[in-house]
Amino acid sequence: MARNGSLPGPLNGIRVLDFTRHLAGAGSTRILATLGAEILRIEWPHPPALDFLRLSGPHADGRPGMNRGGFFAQINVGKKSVAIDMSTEAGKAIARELIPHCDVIAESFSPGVMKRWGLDYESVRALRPDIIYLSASGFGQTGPYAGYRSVGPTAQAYSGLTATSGLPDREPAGWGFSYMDHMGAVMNAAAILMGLERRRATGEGEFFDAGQSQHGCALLGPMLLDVSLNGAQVRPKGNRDLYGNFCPNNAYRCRGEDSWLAISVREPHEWAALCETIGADDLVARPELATLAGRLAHEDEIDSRIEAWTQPCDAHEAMAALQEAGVPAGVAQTVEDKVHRDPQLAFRGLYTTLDDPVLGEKRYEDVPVTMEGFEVGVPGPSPWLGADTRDVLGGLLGYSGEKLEQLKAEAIIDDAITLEEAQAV
Amino acid sequence: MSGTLEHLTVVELAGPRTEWCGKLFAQAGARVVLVEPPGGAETRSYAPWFGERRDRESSLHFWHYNTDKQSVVLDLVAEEGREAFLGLLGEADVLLDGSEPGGLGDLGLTREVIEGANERLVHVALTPFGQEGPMAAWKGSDLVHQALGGQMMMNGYDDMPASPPVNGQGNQAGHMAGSWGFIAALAALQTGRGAFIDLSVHDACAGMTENALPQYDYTGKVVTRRTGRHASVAPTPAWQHRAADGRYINAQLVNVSPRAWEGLVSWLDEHGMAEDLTDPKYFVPEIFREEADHISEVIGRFVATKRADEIFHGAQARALIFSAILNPEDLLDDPHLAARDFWIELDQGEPEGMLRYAGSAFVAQNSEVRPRRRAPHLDEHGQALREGLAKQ
Repeated sequence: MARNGSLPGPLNGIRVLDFTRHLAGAGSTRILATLGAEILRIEWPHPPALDFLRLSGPHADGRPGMNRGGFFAQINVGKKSVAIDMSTEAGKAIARELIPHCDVIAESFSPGVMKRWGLDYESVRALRPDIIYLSASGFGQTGPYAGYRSVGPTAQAYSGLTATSGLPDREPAGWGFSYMDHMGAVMNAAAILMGLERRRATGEGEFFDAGQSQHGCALLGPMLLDVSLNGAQVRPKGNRDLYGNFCPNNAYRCRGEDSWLAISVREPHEWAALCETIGADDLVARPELATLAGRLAHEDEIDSRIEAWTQPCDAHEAMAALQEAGVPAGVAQTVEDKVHRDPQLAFRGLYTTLDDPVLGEKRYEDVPVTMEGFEVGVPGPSPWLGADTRDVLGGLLGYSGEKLEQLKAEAIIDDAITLEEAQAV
Repeated sequence: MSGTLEHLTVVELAGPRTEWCGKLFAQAGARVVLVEPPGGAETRSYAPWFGERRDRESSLHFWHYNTDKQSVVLDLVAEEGREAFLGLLGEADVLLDGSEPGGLGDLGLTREVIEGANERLVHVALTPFGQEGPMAAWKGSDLVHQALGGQMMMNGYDDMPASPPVNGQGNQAGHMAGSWGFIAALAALQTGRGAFIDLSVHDACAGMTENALPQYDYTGKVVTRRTGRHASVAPTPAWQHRAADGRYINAQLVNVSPRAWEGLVSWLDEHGMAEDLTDPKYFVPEIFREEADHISEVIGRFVATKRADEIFHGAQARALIFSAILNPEDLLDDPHLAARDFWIELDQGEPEGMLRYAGSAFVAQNSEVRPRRRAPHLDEHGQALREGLAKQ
């Protein structure tokens, strides 16, 4: 649910100086924002401090612009934007002045950029000893591939996540989106929170060197021990369970175009309920199919019997019938299904609608948790570039109006704050 | 070096939904007490197994997710077991609870009883669909959650008619949800007060499909799956190519800088395979986009003449975001992971001895996030824990 300010967020009072970009970086400070932290995005309309995501589509009314990107808006909800030209000495000095006022600093530039700006961990720690500092990159700050470039699909390919997803004996299907940008963001938020929790106990700061690709490797799960201890070669098995812990476990064709229902069975009572629902009295009567091992030996036969039942069925109706009988089943949903046909997501308020004067009324993905006594969730729209420069530098650093005008005239800072200005860029 | 979260105590009710969240705490040094039912946690019976062994001490699934944890068997159906459980909660910071909605309450362990045992406890309740709502009683699995969450419908093949959507492997629904449990619990701890966190696996998955929602909201169009690359509203050029050694390459050409393009073209040209890509017209973004299929085909022909690792490192040296598509076993001798101490040795005890485990991907400077101890045997710490509780 979107926050309305009636209760505090659990991270109220935590301030983050945010140099992250794209989803893997900026997604982590989004998570902190949904939990109540104050996020100060340092950015600029030109490289190196430009977030290219601001230029990515889809755009409001199909017209490109710095403040018109729908994906950027999704990832930067409720943050503040402070426009500083970090290529200037005066700009770097302002960033250093902000550090003592911040609990966390997060960045996702290529290794070396923050050091060139005098903002590496050692320099920052001198200004704020208990700072929690996250450097997020594709392959980490050290090691032979430290300089390598990575986006989500790169990390997925390198880590084994791509190769293990697919139909047998075909090229990999991989992941049809940047899963490791999402999970990179999640792991980066987790690192920052571990640092904050340790600071709460010890009073000390911490530095995390996060590599998106390494996090991908760590997410292979039990495959890791299978290769290291059994010498296994893990190859994709389509939608069947890689290790046979569930059977049947597959996606079955339903009525209509490209309509599929996933079904997973492990327990004997689930198997009996499945057979009853699909009218397969003969299968439930066969004792060899009562065990997982027995069903795995007849998986082709079982799959074809299930699909013979699902094929003429509406996927959502078949799902409801199976779930009512106690069988784990789920439609392979599109985003349209999730928005319009999923009563549970609607009940939990996963999609929050915000009205933004530039973007219009749009949906935002909210958090998967509620926390009694606290408010968590999407805090508000994304910021126009530079919208909070004056408030932050005036409020936190006490810059006078005159000084702010001077810095703006020298093109050290910027502050697009009117709707016309926001629309224009 | 000290563990990052070594000051915390976590009680985890054993179950498939909580084990990744528990591992995130345990590898950071928190004391994680795994409460197992008589007979052991369900996932002690999950494959893969260690070699040919098939007993409850030999599941690699269990070994992987339960490193560093302590095991105590408690029968929560019995009064004695419940009392011991509440005793454990009295000294805990966090409870990881993957029971069905209302499941613990049916045993008399209602939220009031649990809060009575420790009012500062952060109680993470991790259910398939949340505590309440029209689907709250429904069941999930990794496959079912990635289907309903929207991941599956974005993965698959567009060059193979009528092929199914494809599920990502490795328990990713559990990873998405469990990681959020870790995040929410750590956030709640910052308040110094207790909290009840209602976490839905379905919500966690449904909220992680990158650009699918903005595309739909801004254009009214639904993304559809493409072989080995991002689901999209319109067809896109192939970016997965087969190398000479049979392995595949991810050769994504997004946001290619002029410098990277020059590097790529001159690399192809050195091998006489640049074809017409040397034409400066490709620096014009519109032409680059219009000719994307042609560019992809030329690159594909070049990739087919080289080994995957040659393409991976050669491309990265030219500032391109390519990677070889590695198999999990390739990670065992990957020099970068070795340099970052990704693989570690843990003492499995007799008769196995030292075994090679995956460490953690978190690299900290002043403290440490890495597994130190193998998963516990069933009730390995039970006697000591029960005696400790009896003294209280």
